[in-house]
Order: sequence, then structure tokens, then C-alpha cells
Amino acid sequence: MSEPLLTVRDLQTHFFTEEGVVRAVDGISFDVREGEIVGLVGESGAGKSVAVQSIMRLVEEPGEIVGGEVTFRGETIFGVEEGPDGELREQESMLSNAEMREHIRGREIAIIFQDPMESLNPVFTVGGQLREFIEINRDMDAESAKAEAIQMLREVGIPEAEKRYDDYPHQFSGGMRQRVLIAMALACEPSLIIADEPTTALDVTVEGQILEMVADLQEKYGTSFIWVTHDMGVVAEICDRVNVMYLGEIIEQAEIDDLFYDTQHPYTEALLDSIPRPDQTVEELDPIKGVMPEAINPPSGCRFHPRCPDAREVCTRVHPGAREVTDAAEPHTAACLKHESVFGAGYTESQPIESHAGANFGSGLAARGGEVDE
Amino acid sequence: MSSERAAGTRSGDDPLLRVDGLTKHFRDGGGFLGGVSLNVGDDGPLVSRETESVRAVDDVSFEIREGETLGLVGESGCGKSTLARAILRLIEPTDGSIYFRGEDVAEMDTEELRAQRKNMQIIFQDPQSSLDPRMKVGPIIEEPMKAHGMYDKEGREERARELLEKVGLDPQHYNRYPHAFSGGQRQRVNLARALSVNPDFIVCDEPTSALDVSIQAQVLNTMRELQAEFGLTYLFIAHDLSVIRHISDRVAVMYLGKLVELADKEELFENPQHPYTKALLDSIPVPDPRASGTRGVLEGDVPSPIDPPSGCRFRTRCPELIAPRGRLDPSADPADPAYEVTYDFSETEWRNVREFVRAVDRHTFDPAGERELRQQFFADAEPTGAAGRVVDEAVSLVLEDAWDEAAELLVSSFSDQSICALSDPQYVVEPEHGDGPHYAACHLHREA
Repeated sequence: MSEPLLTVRDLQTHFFTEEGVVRAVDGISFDVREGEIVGLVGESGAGKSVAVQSIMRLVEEPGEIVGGEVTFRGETIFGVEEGPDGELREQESMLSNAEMREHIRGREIAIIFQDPMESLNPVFTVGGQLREFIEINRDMDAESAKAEAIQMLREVGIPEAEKRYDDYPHQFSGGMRQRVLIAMALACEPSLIIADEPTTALDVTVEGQILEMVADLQEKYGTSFIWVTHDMGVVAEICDRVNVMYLGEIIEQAEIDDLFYDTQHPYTEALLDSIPRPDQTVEELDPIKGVMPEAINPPSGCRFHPRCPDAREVCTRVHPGAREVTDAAEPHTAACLKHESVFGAGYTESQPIESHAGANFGSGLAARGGEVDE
Repeated sequence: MSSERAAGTRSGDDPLLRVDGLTKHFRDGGGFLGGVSLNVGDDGPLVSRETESVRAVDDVSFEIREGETLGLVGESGCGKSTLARAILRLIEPTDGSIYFRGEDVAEMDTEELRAQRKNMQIIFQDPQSSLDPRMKVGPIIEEPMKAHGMYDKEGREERARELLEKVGLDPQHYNRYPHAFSGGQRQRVNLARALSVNPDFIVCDEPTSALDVSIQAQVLNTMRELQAEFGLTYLFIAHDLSVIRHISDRVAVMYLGKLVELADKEELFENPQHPYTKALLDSIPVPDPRASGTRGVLEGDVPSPIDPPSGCRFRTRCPELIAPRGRLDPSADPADPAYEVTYDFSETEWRNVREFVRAVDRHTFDPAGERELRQQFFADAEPTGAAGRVVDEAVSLVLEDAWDEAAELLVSSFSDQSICALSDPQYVVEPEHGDGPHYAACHLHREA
């Protein structure tokens, strides 16, 4: 297997707020290989968006990337090392802000956000914005950039591209605006596109159109994708490999088929059980108990233990890191102590615990600073 | 008019709610100079004022029986929320009747309506903005009881606490403010408020769309339990077909202001009879990587409700648009036998023509030349006769870059002559699952 395109190792991004440190992303590791679509899935608050913003070094105050390493094609996007004084400092090989701006963002890694209206300037024409982007990033003169822009609009299925070139964003429907953003992302033929919930705000038929188009374009250009979503349906539809996030951590990582058919983490299992299905009638939904606690003061031990149906006493004490738990061809990792043979933390002899979040929804109350279990 | 067919002929017990020909048009172009246009050089008045109306809901009829959940599904802008509000008369319907237990809500005066609202409640999508941030949840839940003069102060508080528990919250939270609750919990507060006046009927307008899947499952389960306990009847609006499949007994599908299909849940999902319903079902990503990846992508965008297509409103995007039999030639004399033009399409010929018409209409391609164009659209079958002549003419127009004329010619010769454009479809088909009536507004069922 060749070198991965993007490597994320033990990435940590924290937000330093008045109420305390919010550990939004707390030590995640994953790879993206050439030409594959990697899913990053989880509920709101899991840290998916912060994770991808960290990869692009777009985290804003009071947030800060505090640890870990992100490398892209051998170049260090982010990395810290221990300095001579024992303090952590940024690695020297790390790309400067200017290099990030000029070489990485847009050219090598592009990002598509959920709300296309936020990403397009309402007072400039759609074509003009696309042309400018191409002009700057690909050193083209205005005329050839315009031709290229029209070509890109056509490529993403905008009808009458030449005529619509002079339209303003509000004259486009939601689905068409998202197509424009995809055109913009593709315009510099980047190696990696990060798509942050790009179809969440769209209707299903439009979502279907976009997914179809992405699959076609991906085949044509061989672009890699990180696809951030909360929708297991979308994941099943387009991803090759999936990372499941819970409260700032990746708790399961597997090839798509393994994740659905050989699920190894109770949270993934519970997530799959709680979705109603379009293709069959499910009489009884089995929801996950309680709500996700806040990342400001995560539960001790395994962060999922207060809601976990399989939780035992040891889970409240020992924090499991992700380890390989099956011998599938693709590495399949899970961060759960119930894989006793892998973790050996004494799960088997440990006493099962009543999950705190039981029938009482009140315990899930989003009380500030609360949610400590001991 | 269409209520008999739409809801199917039912005998015996009366439905809780019967909606008959409900219509809501909004005036567009509001404002002082809205819709005003100048006629320079024309005959007639110099200034004219024209108001266009947005036909948000058009002649919708259905019934809801006591204790059942009717799911209403459709994409954004199809008019489902407008329909819900018109049923409760939160907005005034333009036309039609809403019979609740036999009484027409549309005819009620203000006082009668106020009393009636005790029986009909609504829950909105955004649990945050439907709760007053400066009120504690207890008083929020008591508000409707107060408005309807129910119980005394202690009685209301007792009932509020009881309801908090019923919807799965802690009665101790009576004194908390909405911001202290998560999204799912706020939606539970909304539920408790709606339930406080002991209604028979609750309209739920996308109640779980803003929630995470695991929280959504909790709320859906609670809603079911409450329905069983209080004998509630729901009109459940959602764009998510999976949720609709889970919660509904019967399902209605809406497109551009009209009901296109209405049937029992199993029947609708397993045996859909309207091409739009089929397309919707095919578009949903299935949470199963082994499911065959048919996305059955629908072309184009929803047309504007200001000037919706005639006949079946889905026909401009329908993959099964019916071939026209022929047309009347406007250029010929009615006495001339050539006045009536007949088309004779094979199935493939029509499919090619249909795709060509849409591609020209949407201008989705750029022809390199006549040979390439014919190769692209008519490789396997090219129409002959009258239809062939129209296609030939359109091809030359396209090659001359006269796209609008070409589109106009093709649409008026073919699409507008289809039965789908000429009459409003209303059919009842034989169900395969269960015995509930199955209504499908599609001319494909015209022989049935």
C-alpha cells in the first residue's frame, strides 16, 4: 500500500473558554489514501467539524490546536515537538501561514461547507466568484479563467452555464449553489476535498443528485474526500472507510461493510439501531439513552459509559484507546473494553453497572459544567 | 369535488378530520408598487396592476380517522406546512372546507374558533424559537390552560408537573428556563404544552427534523406512547421518509401544492404508484452498504408555484411522461384533413424524444454538429412522420443557436399535448398490501 495522502496523528484541539477547557477534539488519528472517500460520522457536538477545521488550520479563537501531527504528502500541516526547555513547541518543518494559504488551501485541499449561501458572496455574480478563484489559484488570465469557470459550471450540471454565469447566488436554488461550491472546490483539481455536511440542508432528491455527481466526479478526477456527516445513509452510500466520532474521539474505524455488518463498538451499534429505515418498517426504535455530555467535562474512563448498555464497573475507570479488534483485511479498530482479549482490562470479571442515564431523561440535562459521574 | 376519490369511499364511522378541496393562494408582489407595470406604446391603460398568486396549496382533500397518524411528506416548498397551518386556520384558507368532527372549521367565527383550538394543537420544527426564553417551562406549559380557563392555579401547576413526567422530563424541572434544556428536551416541553389542554388532534410540523438521530428516536417513541395513552390523532409532517415510515399509519405525498399519492403505509412504501413517490423513495440513502445503490436521480428543479404546469404538476420532471397521441396543427385550416396531426411513437422513440425535449428546454448540452446531436439523442430510434418533422425542425433551430424557439416548438408539439398536460389526474388503484384505498394522481392508471 502506498503512502497515505493525509495522515492525522493524535490531533487535539481545545477551546479555552471562561467556563473551562472544552476538549472538542481529543486525540484522533486517521489516514486518507489516494482516491478514497473517508467518512467522519457522529452526532452534533461530536467534534467532526472542529476536526476538519483543524486539518485546514482554520480553528479560530478561543480554539487552538494543542497537540498531534497532521501531514499531507510529506509536508507538515501541523506538528509539535518537545523543545530543549521541555516545553512543547511547533515543529520547524511546519508550513507557515502564508504557505498554507498559497499552497494548501484551495489548491491541494479544498473544503465545502454545509450552507452554500454562507460561502458565496451575495453581491457578486456566481460566475465572477468562480472566475476570480480560478484566476488567483491557477495563475490564469481573466479570459481563460472565465472559459474554465463556465466549463466547470457545466461539469457540475448547471443548465445554461453561459447564461447562468452572470446570475447572483440568490437566483440559484440551494442544490445549484451547492453545485457551484463543488465546482469551486474542483476548480484547482485538489488532491483532497473536505466536505462538511454538504447535503444536510438539501432535499432528498437534490441530495441524490449531488451524491451521484460526486461519485462521477470522483471517478473522473480520482480526488480523495473526507465526508463529514451525521447521516448513516449517506455514509453507506458513498464512503469507502468510516471513522465514528463520539465526544471528541474516534471510537470505531473500519471499512464500510465491516462497520455495518461487523460492528465492534456499542455506540456505533446503538446509533445504527436508533435510525428509522426507509426500506423497511421498524416497529420499535431502540434509542440511545440520555444525551451526549458536554466536552467540557467528559465522563471518566470510557466517555460513552454513562449511556452504554454494555458498561461495566471497569469502564468508569479505564479509558480505552482505539485498538485493532478483528483480523479483517482492512484494520478495524474500536475503543471498547469489552474486547477483553485485546484490552485485557478485566472487563469479564467486572460488575455490570446501571447506566446512569437510564429511564430518567433529566440526567441528560445540559447543566453547565455538570455531567460528572463520580 | 374530489374528496370522495381522494380519501377513498369510506363507510361507517365518520373521520375525525375531513379536508375538502382546501386551497391556499398567496398574493405575490406585495408592497406599494408590487405587480405594477407600465405599458408604453400599447393600447389600453398606461399603467396596469397585475397580482400573481403563489398557489401554495391547491385543492387538497383527505381524511384522518380518530387515533391514527397520517404522515404528510414532500420536499421543501411543496406546501406541506402551509397546508398544516390552513387546517388549523392559523392562516386563512382561500377556498375549501375543514370538517372537524363534522363541523366546518373554515366557517367558524373567532369565538368558535378559539374554543375549537383547544382540540387542535400544533408542534413546530424549531423547539428553540417556539419557547419564550424568558418564561420558565412550568408557566409555558400552563399558558394554554390559562387561555382556555382550565383549572385553578394549583390545578394547573399540578397538571404541568404531571405532564412533564408524561413526556419524559423530571417534574423538578418546572422552574427551569428553556435554555437549560437540550433540543430534544425542548421538543418534549412543546409536547407537554400541546397536551395540556387535552386535545384530540395534534399537527406535528417536522417535530424531529432538528434533532440528532438518537434523540429523534427517543422523541418519536415518546410521541407514540402518548398517542396510545391519550388516544391522540396526529398529522405528522416530515421530509424524511424514514421517519414517516416509522410513525405513520397512512401516508400522503405532496408535490407542488397537490397531493399526488395517498395510501396505507405498507402499501405506499412497498407498492408506490406515482412516479414522484417512486423517485423520492429511490433517492433516500439507505443505511446499508449492501443495498443496491439506485439513486434514481430526478432531473431539474421544482417549477415555480406561481405558474405551475397544467394537468399533472410533476409532468415536467416525470420520467414516465405519457406520449402524446397527436395534436391539432395551428397553422392548418380546421376543415383541412391535415388539421389533425397524429404521432406514432414506439416506446424507445418516445423516450428519446422526451429526453431531447428536456435537454433542449434546459439547455444542458452543446452540440458539436448535427451528426453528433442525432447520435447523442436518437442513436437507437428516431421518430418518423409528423413527429419526425417536428424533431428535424427543432434540430436545425438548435444548430442555429435558436434554443428558445426550439424549446418552444418541442414543448408545444409534444409535452403540452400529452394527456399529463391536458387533464388533472385522479385515480384510485387496487392496493396490494392491506385493504385501505390507494389514491394515485397519475394518468398511467387511466385504464384501471
